[in-house]
Amino acid sequence: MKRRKVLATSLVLCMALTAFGCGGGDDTKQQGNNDNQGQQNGGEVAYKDTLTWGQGADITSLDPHQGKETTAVEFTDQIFDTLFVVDENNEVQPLIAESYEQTSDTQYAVKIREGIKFHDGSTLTAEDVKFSLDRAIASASVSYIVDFIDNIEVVDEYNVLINLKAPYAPALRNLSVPFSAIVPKALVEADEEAFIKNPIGCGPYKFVEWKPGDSAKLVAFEDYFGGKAATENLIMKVIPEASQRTIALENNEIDLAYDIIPNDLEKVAANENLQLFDAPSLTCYYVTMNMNKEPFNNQLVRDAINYAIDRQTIVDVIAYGSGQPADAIIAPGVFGYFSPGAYEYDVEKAKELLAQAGYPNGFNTSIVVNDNQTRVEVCQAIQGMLKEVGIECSVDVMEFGSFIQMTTNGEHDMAYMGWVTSTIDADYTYYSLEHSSQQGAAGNRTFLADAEVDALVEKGRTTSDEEERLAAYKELAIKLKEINNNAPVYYSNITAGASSKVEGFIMDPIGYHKLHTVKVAQ
Amino acid sequence: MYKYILKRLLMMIPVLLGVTFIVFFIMALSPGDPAAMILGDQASAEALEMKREELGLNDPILIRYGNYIIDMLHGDLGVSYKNSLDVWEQVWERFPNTTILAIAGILVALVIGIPTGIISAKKQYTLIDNVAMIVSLIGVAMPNFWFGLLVVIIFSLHLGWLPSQGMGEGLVPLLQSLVLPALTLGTGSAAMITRMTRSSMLEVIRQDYISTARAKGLSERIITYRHMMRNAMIPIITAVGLQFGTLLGGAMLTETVFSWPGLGRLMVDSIKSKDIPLVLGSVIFLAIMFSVVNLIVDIIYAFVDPRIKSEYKKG
Repeated sequence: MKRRKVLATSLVLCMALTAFGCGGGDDTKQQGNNDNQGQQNGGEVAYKDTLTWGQGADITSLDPHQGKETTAVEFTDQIFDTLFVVDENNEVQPLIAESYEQTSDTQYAVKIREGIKFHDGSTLTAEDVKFSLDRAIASASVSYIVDFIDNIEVVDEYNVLINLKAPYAPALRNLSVPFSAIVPKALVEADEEAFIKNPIGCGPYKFVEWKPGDSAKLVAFEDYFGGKAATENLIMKVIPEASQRTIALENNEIDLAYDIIPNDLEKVAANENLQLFDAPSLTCYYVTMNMNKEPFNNQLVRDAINYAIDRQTIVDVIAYGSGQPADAIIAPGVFGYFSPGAYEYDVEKAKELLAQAGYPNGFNTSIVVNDNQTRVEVCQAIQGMLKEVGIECSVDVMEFGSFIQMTTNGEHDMAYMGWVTSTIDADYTYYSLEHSSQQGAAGNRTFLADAEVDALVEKGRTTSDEEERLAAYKELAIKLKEINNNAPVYYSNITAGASSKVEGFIMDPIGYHKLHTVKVAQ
Repeated sequence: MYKYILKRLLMMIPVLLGVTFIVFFIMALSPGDPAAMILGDQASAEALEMKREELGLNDPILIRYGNYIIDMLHGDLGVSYKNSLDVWEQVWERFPNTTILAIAGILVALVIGIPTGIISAKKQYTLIDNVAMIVSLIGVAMPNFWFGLLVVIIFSLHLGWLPSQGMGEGLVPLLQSLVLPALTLGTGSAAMITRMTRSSMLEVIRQDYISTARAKGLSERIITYRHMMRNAMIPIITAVGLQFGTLLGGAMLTETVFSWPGLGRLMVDSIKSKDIPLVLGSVIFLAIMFSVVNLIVDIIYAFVDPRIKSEYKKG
């Protein structure tokens, strides 16, 4: 008898589960609209009070001086602000700073906006600015973005002097990167652990909660110095499976989905209830050739490899057209970009160059890549293209840590890499990837050491005059195309999908999308 | 019985030490620098050195292992390399989510698997049996990942009945969000349980005491439940216990497809980012869970089979 009861209970439970599922249909469809009572503005369009977005990975840290991964910044960038910001015209504008003056080659005097409030109600002062930048400099994760600073002097409550170690032209652009966010000194000093769990900034949104692996919530900050955000609540959902993000968007479970995979682009574009954002990013994917090894120390071989790669096919087939063939190591959206002319795809020319270099029958080599599906596919395509000119190239797929270690130690022949110019300034990439002082871990994995290149990189880095900087970078781009130490392959696009009801979303080329201007119609 | 339970609990200590030893050394000796994993490919040599020092990676490996064990004995599993949060807190936070999914999954599996297995056994070599066996073969062979996406496309996208991802807040949204992952997870286990129930029942069906029961004139229902089921239960309980233990360890693929914030995803993410403290913490927790489930299964044996109970008493 008892056993029959257990069985019956199990059956009822199962049926109840199914019934909840079936009966809950309408609720589910409306999940995005449930909790919002957007304000009705005299018969005009009403807006939802909650915006939900989906991203591919969880926040790594809520501390802006630790979590430098895009998935962390996508969230923390709503909580924190920086001294400066780069606008959509690629111009530096003051944000927390009210004004600034370059007093010498190595000093900036910055006046801070008065009356900016942190989320706990305290006022942002020069002390907070000094504390925050010092904290960023001390952080292993983000110091590379601010380590051009020698020290910061507090002049008075709202004025600081930023002293540089050496003349550094892109200083203000670096201070616009979210890793140089301003945090409240008193609070962090009192209890750093509490701050990391409940971050307090002066940005447009206040932190509410984070459920690791699942979701995180924000609420608009009433006293935000730039005016209250357009939507009251923000919810971030972690949806690791890319096709699931698209499905959740189609299903109205989220309003905005970051990083639509190439496979889903057409589907989103064709759906009349959705809008697709697809714009050039600041990421360049490239093949780095180890000049310390034969035959890559031979200029003709490097040239041949550049001729052998069919960049347009890679963009069309592997990136589904979401990108463009690269002609330099930095993307067109970056300050200092100059096109030295597109790379030609010419199999015969490549063979000719190899013969001249003493390899009429090609040679055996390898390309290492980390275990990312798209990257591996590109390498397989390159493998096929190199075979056409007689080069037998194996593709070695490695886990990221080993990949970095191997290429840092210069054990690779060729490696397939990606680089984002986070500061939107050419120096960031040219200095790391091409300067002889940056060989290995810092980025120069071709082990290039060329006095002329070094001089041009340094000129671009230390000259204040923008025209002169651009001229130096133009010369550098031409010079690098002659050396061909890297084979730039393509610039990827950055993508997002949104419900057609989403208004005011501006995509950031790095992926640090700010959401305080975004609204969702009911 | 209590003595037996205590003995089993004490046996968990060497198991856990063994687990930490193996996992620690595999993670520490495998290629790849955790500092490089954390800082990415844009970090300077100085930053990498700073990070290694901060994480204590410059100490000799045996000292690192020794320190870890000492901390662990003090109940401190350390903090994650990646996000500096307490490992124990992170694992503990995910545990209820995984448990909910595992219970729902095993319920689905039991509700489908046991009745189908019984019917199949009783109607051996009939059409029903053949269909059930083919379906369960497909169930065992079908990748969770694929089946998960399939049910999402049908029930979320086309029919709009259920949410496609996430874990709902509140009872009704939670149950709604549970249906598809539980179905996905339960189907694979159900297939296994069906096959196990069938073979176990078939063994019992041919026993003399079943013929005796029939000869006594007992009803088929009583024969099935009281005589067949009870005797066929032991291997089924073992299979269900193992399945449940595995599900508690987190069903990585199902959790990924449905964005379910469970232990499986935590563990895989931490392995990918070489977050050694988090991997160790999750594995230790998983080992404890598996041992506890096995112990519970052994205790259930005693209730199902009086012969085993008397064995325990002797032990």
